[in-house]
Amino acid sequence: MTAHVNQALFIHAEKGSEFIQPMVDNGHGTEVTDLNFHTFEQDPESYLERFSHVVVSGPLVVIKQVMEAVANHGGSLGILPQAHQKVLSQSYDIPLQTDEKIDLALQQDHQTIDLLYCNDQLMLFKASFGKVPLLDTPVHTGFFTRMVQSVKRLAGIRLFEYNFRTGSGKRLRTAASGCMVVQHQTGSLASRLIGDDSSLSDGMISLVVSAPMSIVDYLTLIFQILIRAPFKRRIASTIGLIKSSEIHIESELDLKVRIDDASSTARTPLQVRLNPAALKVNIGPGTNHKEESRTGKERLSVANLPTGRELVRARKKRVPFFAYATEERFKDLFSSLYEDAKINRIFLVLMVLSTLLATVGLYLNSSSIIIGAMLLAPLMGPIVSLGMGVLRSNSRMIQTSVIKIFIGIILALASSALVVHLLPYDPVTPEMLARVNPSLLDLMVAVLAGIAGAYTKSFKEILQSLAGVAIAVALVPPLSVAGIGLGRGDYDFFLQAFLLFFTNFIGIVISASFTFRVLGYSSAIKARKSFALLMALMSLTLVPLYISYNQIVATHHFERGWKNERFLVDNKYLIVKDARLINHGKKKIITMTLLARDRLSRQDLMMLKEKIQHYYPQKLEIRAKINYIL
Amino acid sequence: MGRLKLGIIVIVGALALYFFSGKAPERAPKKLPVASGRQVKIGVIGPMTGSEFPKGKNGIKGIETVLHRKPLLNNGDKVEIQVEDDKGDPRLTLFAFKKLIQTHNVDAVILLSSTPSALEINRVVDQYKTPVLATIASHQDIAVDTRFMNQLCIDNRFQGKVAALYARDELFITRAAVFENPDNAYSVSLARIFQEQFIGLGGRMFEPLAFPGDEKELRDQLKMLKDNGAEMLYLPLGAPQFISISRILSEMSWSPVRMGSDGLLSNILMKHEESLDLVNGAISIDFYSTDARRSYFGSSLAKNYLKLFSETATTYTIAAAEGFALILNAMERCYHPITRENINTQIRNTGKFSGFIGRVRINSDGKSQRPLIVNAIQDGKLKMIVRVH
Repeated sequence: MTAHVNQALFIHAEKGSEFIQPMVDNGHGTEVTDLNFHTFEQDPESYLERFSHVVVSGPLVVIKQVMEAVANHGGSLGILPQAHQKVLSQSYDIPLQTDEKIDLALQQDHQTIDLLYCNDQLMLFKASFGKVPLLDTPVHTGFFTRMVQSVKRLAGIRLFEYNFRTGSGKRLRTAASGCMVVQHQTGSLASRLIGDDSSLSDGMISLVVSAPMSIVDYLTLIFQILIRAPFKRRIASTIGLIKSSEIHIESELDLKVRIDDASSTARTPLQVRLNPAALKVNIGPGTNHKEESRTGKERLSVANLPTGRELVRARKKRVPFFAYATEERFKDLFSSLYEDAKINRIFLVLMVLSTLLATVGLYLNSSSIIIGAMLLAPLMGPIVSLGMGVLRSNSRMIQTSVIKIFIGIILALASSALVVHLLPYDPVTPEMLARVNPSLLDLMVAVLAGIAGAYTKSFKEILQSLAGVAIAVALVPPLSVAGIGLGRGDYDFFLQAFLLFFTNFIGIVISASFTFRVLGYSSAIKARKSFALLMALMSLTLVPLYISYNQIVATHHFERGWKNERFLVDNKYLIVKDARLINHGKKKIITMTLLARDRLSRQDLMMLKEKIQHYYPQKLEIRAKINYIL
Repeated sequence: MGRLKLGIIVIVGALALYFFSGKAPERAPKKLPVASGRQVKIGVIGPMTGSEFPKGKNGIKGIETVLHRKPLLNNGDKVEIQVEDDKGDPRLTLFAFKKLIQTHNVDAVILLSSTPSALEINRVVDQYKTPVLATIASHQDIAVDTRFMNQLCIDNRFQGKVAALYARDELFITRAAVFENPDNAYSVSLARIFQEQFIGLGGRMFEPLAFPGDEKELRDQLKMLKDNGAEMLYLPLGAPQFISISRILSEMSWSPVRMGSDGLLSNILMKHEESLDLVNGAISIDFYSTDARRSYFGSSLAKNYLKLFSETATTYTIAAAEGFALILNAMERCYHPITRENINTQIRNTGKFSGFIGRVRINSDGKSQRPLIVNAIQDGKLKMIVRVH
């Protein structure tokens, strides 16, 4: 059974007077004297002399004044938040029901908490300045409005210089979009950043410094906070955390400091100080109040904040949408891409070997040989290099990679054309046919492979995945088929297969450029003319690919639809088991398998043809295979 | 960069618009004809009241939809309709037919009533030398040995044969039973054709069973069929009878293949919607299917219908709309003057008329040639299984 105080002074503003009667009639045996705040304000000392326990209710300003008075006098305090003061209730884990609130407020079991001051103004929850979108939005705002406001504020966000000095004299100079002093506030978005690490009585001030290096980074942080991803021991990549008993903050700009959702304000420079164990207060058990956590150990988790050269680079600039890559990553990738763009003997040998292998595989209709050729093929490297060259407007890289690709193409076409002349027969295998009808889906493969290629190239640790990318996009087999077409003098064959190669080439270059851009290797696509040329080429390529894609879809629907067709010809029931549509130049040929019970005469077949042509307006050449039901 | 960005956006936008915009309509909208001051009159006979009223009411909505789209012929002649209610009674059908010709002087008649009414007109149509198009009557004798009777619906012979062939060759049924309604010529003819064809295909049939008035007797009949290994019931019956059989089968926990005939689902939807669950999974042969690809005519008709009536169309609506559009089409192909004789000739010369879900041909003997569809009834919809040409 919890013990309650014998006597209590109930100080209330006009808002808060609804608790007078329940307080007086409390069922805990406590004698309650009610007092208007204005009366208390005139001579607080005399009242605090008479009452060792005070209960307060009213606006936050009133509560703060009473808190300070009680802290100075050394008494204890109970708080009765009003219905709308949800943050207050949440912060001190005060129940929502009036009876339970009063029960807690009148208990003898008080906890000692720290009081935080921002430029000598008491702060209960948080104080923010600069821009810390979403986290610094007033909590009483609706979720949707908070999101919209946050995204709006995020759009024009810039980093400015800040100087911090901690209680132990440590100094930090960095660039940040904004800062937030956080008192422990259970359930708030800001408190999720500092996690279990803080309490109302840890003797520390927690300062969150927001320094997003890209909008994407910051959105990721917000997403992590919203889904309550555990930060635990590490802190999010776009913020820094300073914990100290005292923090002095200077900002490059003169900034307004919003204390406790703008219930009071101050301006920078800001002196945040702590009055440890200043107030005995009745708080709920859910509050993170740990006497043992009073370690007094200062902590600076600021590795993610820009300092030195990074600070100079980031300062005053608008935060980019995508982050810049680090210099180390940048150097590694560039030297690797330069190597890929250079022509050398290994490239020439591998190019010839892979083409020969692919050509033989195509003749043998062997997918395993063709895959082997794909793995040997060295074309992916210079194409990805070209993507970076275009992105960075690096004419040397563009030039060397274009020459390398061009020589590779010529070698491949010549090698496969030569094989055609050496081999005594000219088969058209399914593996060849599979590469003469490119569609939008092939472009999709190329784009995805380009993304994968650029991504794989950017991270050494996943470089081995490049082989998979090479298989997926298959650059050499279409070139081999094109060479076969050239060798046989079949230019239709050549053009169709070369279109597939060209689709792959354009798709990879463009998507690799975009991927490198997203990964932060350039602030913009710099070789505009080259990029515009690539886009124009891709637009042109889209036309035949779209037509081809449409044909594939139409053929699929046609063939699927035909399986549901039946014909009654001279009382003979004909079941279509399967049908295939082949486009042969301008002619459409349908080959189908029919099931029939009775023998079909020539006349029946003519009648069948007439029916098909009546119901299907397209002119069809019909080939039918008939299986009889016995 | 601004110009480059703009250029790229314009190219990509134009391409996106080109590629992803909807297909151009199959036919460009035609210039509207100018009214000539003349008119053509089409008589409509159907059950607007009485137990078969949905056939007439739904049919009229289909006709009104077509009329809304096409109030004038291409030559500017105004199209008018004169509606007569026959209450589904063949004698009244005949009376209405004579009235339309003698009193209202119509140029053609569209008949929305079923087989008995159509057979009644079939007897006398040539005396009046006025073209008649029966939209839902499917009896095989309709249009036989007449010059002016025409049939839009699938013929019972075709339907019965296909039912037997589908059962035998695709469902691999070896033992089937058939129920018939002895008072209905349509039902009897379909039952007989099925029986004859199924036996001809090597299947085994039970003696045709007349649908009894007494439920106990029906229960006994079904029990006998179950005990003797019937795998399928062919049921060219009205909706109430089909539902009764389905309910008893459900109570018996017996689920043989049930196959109904054209118009079954429409009747259930209009008059027995509460029993829809009982017919789920049954097969129904019809000229229509909910999920068959619609023609341009079918799509635009469906859109206009929804605009005008905001309700689901039935096969009766579609049949009447198709029939009415076919008569207008025939009138437009007439050389001057638009006489009854000329209209009839053109109806029988309809080669490539685009119906709701495919082409319809009317042969020179007045019989239609159109595909029929074997459907599965599922949640109030006709799901196409196969289409038979």
